[in-house]
Amino acid sequence: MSQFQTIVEGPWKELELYAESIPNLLHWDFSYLWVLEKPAELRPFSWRGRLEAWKALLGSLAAGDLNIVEEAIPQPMLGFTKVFGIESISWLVVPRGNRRVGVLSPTVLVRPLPDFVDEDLDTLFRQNRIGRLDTERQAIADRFIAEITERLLEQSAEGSYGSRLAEVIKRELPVKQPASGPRPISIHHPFPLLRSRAWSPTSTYRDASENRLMGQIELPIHRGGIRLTYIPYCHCGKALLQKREAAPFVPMGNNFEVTCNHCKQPNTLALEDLLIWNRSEKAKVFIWEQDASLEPPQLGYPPIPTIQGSEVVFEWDSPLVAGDKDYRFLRLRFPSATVEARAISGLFYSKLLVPGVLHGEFRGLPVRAEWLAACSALDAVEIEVQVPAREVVFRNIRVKGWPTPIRRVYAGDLGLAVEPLVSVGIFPDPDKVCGNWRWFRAFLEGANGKDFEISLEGGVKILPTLVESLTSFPELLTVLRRSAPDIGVTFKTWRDRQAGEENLTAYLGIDFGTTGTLVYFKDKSDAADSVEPKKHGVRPSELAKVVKWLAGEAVGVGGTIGSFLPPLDTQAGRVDPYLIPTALWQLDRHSFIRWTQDSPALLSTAKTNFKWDKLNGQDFSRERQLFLSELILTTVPWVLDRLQLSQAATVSLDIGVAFPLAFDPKSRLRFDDLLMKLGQDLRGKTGLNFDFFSISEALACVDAFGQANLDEHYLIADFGGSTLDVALYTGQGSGNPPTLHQLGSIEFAGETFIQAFAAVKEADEKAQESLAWQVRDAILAGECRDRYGNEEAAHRVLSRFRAAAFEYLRTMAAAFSHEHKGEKVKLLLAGNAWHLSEAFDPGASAETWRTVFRRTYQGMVERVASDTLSLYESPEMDVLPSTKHYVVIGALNNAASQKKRRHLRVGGTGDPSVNIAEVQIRLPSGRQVQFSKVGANQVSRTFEWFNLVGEGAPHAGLSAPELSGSRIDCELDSMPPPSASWESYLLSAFKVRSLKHLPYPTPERLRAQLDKSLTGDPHGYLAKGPLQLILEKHWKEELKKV
Amino acid sequence: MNSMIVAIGGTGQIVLQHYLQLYLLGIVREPFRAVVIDTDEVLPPLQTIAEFLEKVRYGSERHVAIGDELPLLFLRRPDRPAGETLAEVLTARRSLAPSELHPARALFSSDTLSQDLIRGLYARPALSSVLSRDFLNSDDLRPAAGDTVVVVGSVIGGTGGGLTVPVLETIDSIQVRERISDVKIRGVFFGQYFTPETGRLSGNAQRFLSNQLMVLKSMEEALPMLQSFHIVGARDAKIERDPEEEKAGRHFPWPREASHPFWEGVQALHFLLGESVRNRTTGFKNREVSEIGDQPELDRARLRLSHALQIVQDFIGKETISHIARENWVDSIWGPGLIDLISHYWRIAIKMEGGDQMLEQFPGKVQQSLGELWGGEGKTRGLNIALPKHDQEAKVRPKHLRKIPWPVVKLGGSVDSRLFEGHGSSAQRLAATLLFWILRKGEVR
Repeated sequence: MSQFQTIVEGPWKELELYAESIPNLLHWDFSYLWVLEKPAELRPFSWRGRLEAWKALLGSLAAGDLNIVEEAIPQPMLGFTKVFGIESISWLVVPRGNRRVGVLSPTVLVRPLPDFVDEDLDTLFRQNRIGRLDTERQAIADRFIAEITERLLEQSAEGSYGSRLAEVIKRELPVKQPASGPRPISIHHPFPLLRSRAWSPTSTYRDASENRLMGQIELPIHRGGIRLTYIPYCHCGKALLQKREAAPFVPMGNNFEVTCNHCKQPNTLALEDLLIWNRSEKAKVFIWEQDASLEPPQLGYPPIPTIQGSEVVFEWDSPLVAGDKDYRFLRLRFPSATVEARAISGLFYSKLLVPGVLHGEFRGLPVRAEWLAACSALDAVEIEVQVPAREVVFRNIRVKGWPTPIRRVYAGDLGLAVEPLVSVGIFPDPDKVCGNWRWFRAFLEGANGKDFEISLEGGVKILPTLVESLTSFPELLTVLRRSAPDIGVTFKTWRDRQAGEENLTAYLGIDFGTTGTLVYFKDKSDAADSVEPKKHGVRPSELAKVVKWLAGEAVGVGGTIGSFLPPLDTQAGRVDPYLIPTALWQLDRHSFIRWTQDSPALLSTAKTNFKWDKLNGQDFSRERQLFLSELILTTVPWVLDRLQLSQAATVSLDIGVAFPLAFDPKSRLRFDDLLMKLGQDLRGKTGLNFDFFSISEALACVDAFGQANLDEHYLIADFGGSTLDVALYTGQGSGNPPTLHQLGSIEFAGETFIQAFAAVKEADEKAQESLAWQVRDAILAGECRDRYGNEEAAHRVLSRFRAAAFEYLRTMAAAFSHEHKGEKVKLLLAGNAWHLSEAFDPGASAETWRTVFRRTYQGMVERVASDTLSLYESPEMDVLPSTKHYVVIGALNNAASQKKRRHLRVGGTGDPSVNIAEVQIRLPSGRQVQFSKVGANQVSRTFEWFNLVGEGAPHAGLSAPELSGSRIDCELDSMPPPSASWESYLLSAFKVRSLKHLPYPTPERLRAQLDKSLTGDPHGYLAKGPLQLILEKHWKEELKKV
Repeated sequence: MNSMIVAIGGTGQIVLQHYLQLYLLGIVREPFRAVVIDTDEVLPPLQTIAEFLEKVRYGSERHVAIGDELPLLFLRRPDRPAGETLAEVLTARRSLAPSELHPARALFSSDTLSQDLIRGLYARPALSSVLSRDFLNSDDLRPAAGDTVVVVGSVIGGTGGGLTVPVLETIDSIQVRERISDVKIRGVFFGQYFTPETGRLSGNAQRFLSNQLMVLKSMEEALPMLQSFHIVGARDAKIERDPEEEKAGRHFPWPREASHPFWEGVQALHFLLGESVRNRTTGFKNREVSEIGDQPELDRARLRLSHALQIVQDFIGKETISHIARENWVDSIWGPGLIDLISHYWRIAIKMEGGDQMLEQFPGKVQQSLGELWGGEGKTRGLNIALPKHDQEAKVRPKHLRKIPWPVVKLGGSVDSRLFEGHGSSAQRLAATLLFWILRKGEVR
C-alpha cells in the first residue's frame, strides 16, 4: 500500500481533523464533504457533533424552520472571495430570536458555522428547536430531502459535486417512508453548488463559461423556510402593486397613497415598511439595506429595490404575488432628492468607546454623529450595562424608515474600547446655570484625551478635544478615536432642573490688572455687607466644580481642564489664590486664559500686556474683549452656583470695573465701548443681563478702604502691573464722600520691573521676552524667591524701582504738607507691584507676606523720615491675600452701591451725576519748571515742586497753544528736601554721589517732553509734571542699567 | 533547460539548497530553473549561491555563462496583506466582536481569524487561500514547452501545506490557458518527517497529522494534472530538526545517511526531473512513485566536495593568479585553457576600465575578488559558507588545474559588455568564473 493510500484512505477515527488543514477558502465546506463521504466507521470521532448539526440544519431547512438571509460580502473581504466566485453569504437564521446558526454550503448544502462546538448542539436542539421535528414536520422534511436528492442526481454529472452530495444525503438522511398526502407549499430556492475545482485564486479554469466555479441549483424546500416578504395589501386583500410602466408615486412625507387596482379604494402606505427614510428637509432619501443581524420587520422585508436617479423601483417575484406577471411593481419618485442605499449597521460605531471606566450609569449611545438625525426618540433607548461581564446592551433604538426597534450589543475587548485615561466634560454644567444660558463648551481631557476628537452638531470646533456651542446646551455630543473613527460614542445630556421664572440681581467686581486680575461677587442680600475674600472672592481653583463630567474626571496638559479652565491646584504654592493671570493663549480664532505655561495647542501664542494700547497706536481692544469675555464666561457659572441663582430664569449682573486714571480719554472711550459690546455679546451667549460700572483704580482703593474718619488724610498708592495709581484725600465722616486733593496715575509699575530685570539678564530681545514670561509665571506660582531670590541683579533693580516710586510718594506727601502744615498723611500701599519685595526676598518663605511687606515699607517710610508721612497699618490687610484686592473690592462696592458710577463715560457723555473732582488728575510737579514769555504779554509762570499740575489744576487764563510757544526751564535740584537717610538711599539705589548726579534726562529732552505735555484749550494745563515724566520716560530705562 | 523546480517553504528550500550544491559540484549536470516561495526568509545559502551565479554570468541572458548555461534562481517572498490578523485583513478592523457575525465568520473560525499573521501561518494551510492571492499572479511560475516541473515542499506546515496545491494548480492553469505543450507536473511531498518541537504550535502534532491528511486529500481533489509524486517520511521514523541551524545556513551539513529525508528528497527530485517514461495513470493514488533510485549518491558527493574545496582553497591561498601573472612558460605549467580564460577577462578589463593601470592591477584585483567571493567581505557572505565543511587533506598541484576543462573563449561570443561596467567588474567576474569551474570540474587525482 502506498503512503498516500495509508494516509488518505485509512481510518480517520483517532485524528483531530482541522478544517484549516485544507488550503482553500472553502475549507469548511470541503471538510464536511470529505468527512461525510468517508464511511461512518472510519470518520473522526471529533466530528460527530458537527455531523449531527449538519443533519439537523438540513432537516429543519427542508421543513421550513429556518430563514435564509443573504448578506453581501463587504470590502476588503470581497476582494479575497470574489476570485473564488463568492460574493455573498447566505445565513441560516432561526426565526425566533433571529439567531444565525449556519450557512448555505456549496458542497453540502448547509453547514454549521466554523465556531460550532459540540456544546452548541444542545442549544441548537433545545433553544432553537432545530433538528427536533415532530412527526408531521419530519414527514415534510423527508419529503423535501427526497426531492432535493432526486433533483441533485437529475441535474449533476457523475463525479460532480452535485452527485457526490446526493450520494451523501441518500446515505446520511435516508427517507424512511415514501411521501404521501398533499404536497406541502414549496418554494424553489437557489442554492450555491461548486462546479469545478479552484484552489488557486489565479486559476483560470472558471473563465470557461461551460465550467464555471460556482453554480446554482434551485432546490425545493418548504415555503416556511423562506423569510416573509413584505407585500402591500389593500383592505380587499389584493396586492397594492402596479405595472412596470405605471406612473411613479411621489411621497411627500413618510406616507403615500395608493389606490387599489381592484376595489379602487385609497390606501395609505408607510415608507417605513419599504425601509425608506425620506429626509425631505435635506432632500435626501435613504433606502435601508436588509440586515440579517436585525430583527426582521414584522411585515417582512420588501424586495431589494432598484435605484434610478431619484426613482426607486420595487419588483416582487411573480410567485409571491399569486403568479401575477404584470402587477408586481411599485415605483416611487422623490423629485430633487438624492436617493442612496445604506446599511443600518453604518449608523452605529463598530466599537463603543467608553471614556473613563465602565459603570452602571454609563449613558453613551452607539449612534454615529452624522446619523443622529436618523434616530428618533433617543430618550427611549434602553441601556443595560453589565459591568462584570463588560457588556452594554442597547434596546429600542428607533431608526427612521426602519419599522422595528433595533437592539445592539457591545461586549468585551472586541466590542468595547474602555479608555480609563479619557474624560468627557461640559462646562458649565447646564444644571448650575440659569435656564437661558446658551454658551457651553464640551471637551475631552485626560492623558489619552488627545487621541480622541469631540464634536457637536452646530458646535464650533476650537480644538479636536474642545467644541463650543453658542446657541444651546450640548444635548448630543460625540467622541471618536482620531486614528479609528469607527470607534466612538455619542452622549446625550439633559437638564435636570426646570428653569424658574425669577429675574434676580447679582454684583461682580473686576480688577482688570496688567498681569493679574481679580473677580469678586455678591448678591443683593449682602450688598451692604463688608467684603471678604473667602466669601466674595472667585477662586480659580474652584471653577472646575461647575463642570458636568459625563465620563471620567481628569486634568490635562499643565493641569488645565479642557484647556480653558484653571488647574484644580491653582491655589497650591500661590501667593494669592484668587489671582487670575491677565494673559491669553491665542489660537487661530479663539483665546483662553493662560492659566499655565503649557500651551493648549501647537500654534497657540501667549499674549499679555494688552490692558494698555501701545504707544505706537497698536489697539489691543480685541485682546481685552477676548480676555474679559473668557473671564466672565468661566467665572460667572461658578458665581451663579455659589449664589444659588441657577434656578432663576435670568440674572441681571451689575459689574464694577476699575481703570487706571492714566487712561487717556481715547483709551477710556475704547474701554467703555468695549464693555458695552461685551455686555451685548455676553447677553447673547448667556441670556443674562450685563451692565458695567466704572471707577478709577485709585478711587476704587479709596472705596474699598471704607469710610475714613473725619479730617484724616490718606495717601493710597495702588502699584499695579502698568501704573502707580495714587489718591490723596481727606475723610469727611460717615456717609460723606471724601475730599480728593491729589489724584493720578503714573506709568511706572510691576511690568516696568519685569522688563528691566529681563533686560539686565538677557541681551537678546526674544530671550528677554521668554524670561519675562518665566518671571511672571514664577510670581504667580509663588516660586520667585526660589528661582530668583538670590539674583543680585533682581535686588539691584528692585531697590532702584522702589526708590523711584517712593520718591514720588514722598513728593506727594510733602506737597500736601506744604498746604496743610503739620497734618499727617497715612500711606496705604495697595497693588501687587509692592509685593515684588517679598516675592524676591530669599528669606521670605518662612514668613507671612505681611511681615515682609510691613518690614520693607516701614523701613522705606522711616528712611523718608518725613514728619508728615506714616505707613498705615491697615487692619483690612490682614484678611486680604494681597493689597491688590483693594481695587476689586472698590469696584464691587461701586457696582453694588446705590450710586453706581460710570467714570469711563466722563467727558464722553456729560453725565451730570458724575462728580468731576473724582476723575480730574492733579499731582504735584515734583521739580520746579518755569514757562517764560508766555502769551501776548510775555509773562512767566513757574510751577514749584509742590504746585499741582494736571487737568484738575488748569493754568489760569492761558491755553495750551499759548503755553506751547514759551521758553521752558527746569530746576531739577528744586525738590522736597530729603532726609539724610532718604538721600543716602536714593543715591545708593541710583549709584550716584550726590542728588545733582541723579540720572535726569537732558534739559532739551525734558523740555520737549514737557512741551508735549501741555494741553487744554482754552483752559490750558500741564498734563504731567517733570517728576512724573522723569519716572515714566527716564528712570524706567535707568532700571535696566543697574 | 527543461527542468523547473518550485521549492516551497523551509523544507523545499533545504532540498533545493542541496540540489544547487550538487550542481555547483558538477554532480547535477543539467542546469535548471528554480523558484523559491516562502512566507519566511529565503535561506542565506540560496541567496549567496544566487548572487554568486549572477557574477558568473557572461551574456545578456541570465543563464548564459562563458562556455556553459547557469541555473536560474527566482527567490520570492509573498507580500503579507495589510493586517496583523486574518480578521484585520478581511475587515480592515483590528478585531471582530465575539457577537458580531461578520461574513468572515461564515468561512473562518474565530481562532483562525485571530491568528497573528506577522509570526507565521501557524500550520493553517487555509490561510494561504487569502494570503497567496496576489503572489500567485507571478510570471515566475510560467512553465516552458517540454518542461518537467517538480514542486518540492512539506505538506504539514502552513506555507508548504498552504501553497503547494495552489501553486501546482496555477502552473497547470497557465499551461492550459497559454496552451504550453508537453508540460509534466510532478511533486516531492514531505509528510511528517520530523518530530515537532513541543509547544511551538497549538496542537502541533495533531495539526501536522491533520495537515498531512487534508493536503494530500486536497491534491487528490484538486490536481488531476499531477503526473507523479513521491512522499517523503510520512510513515517512517522521524528526525529532529534544528530550525535555527537551518536558518543560519553556515556550512549546513549534508546528512550522515542517504536514508535521511532531506537526501531522499534530493534523490526524489533528481529522479522526477529526469524521468521521462511515466505517463499519468487514472487513479490518483497510483501516481505515487515509491522507487526513486540512489542518485545522487551521498558518498560520491562527499568525495567531489572534498576535491573541489581543496583545490579552491589552495588556488586562493597560494595566490595562484598573482603567480601566473609573474611567471614565464605559464601555458606549460597551468595549461592554455586557464591562461586563455584569464587573458580574455584581462583584455575586457583593459577595454572597459582603462589601459596601463589595469594592465598592472588586474591580477591583484582578481586575487582579491577570489578571496572576497569565497571568504566573504564585511556583511557579504562568502560562497564557502553556503557549502558543507570538509576535513580531508590532499596535495593540490598545477596539473590538477591544468586538467580542468576550462571553457573555451570564442571570439565574437555572446558577451554582454554592460556586465563589465564599473570598477573591478571584470576581475570579479573572472574570479567567479574560475571558482565556478574549479568547483564543478576540479579533481585531485
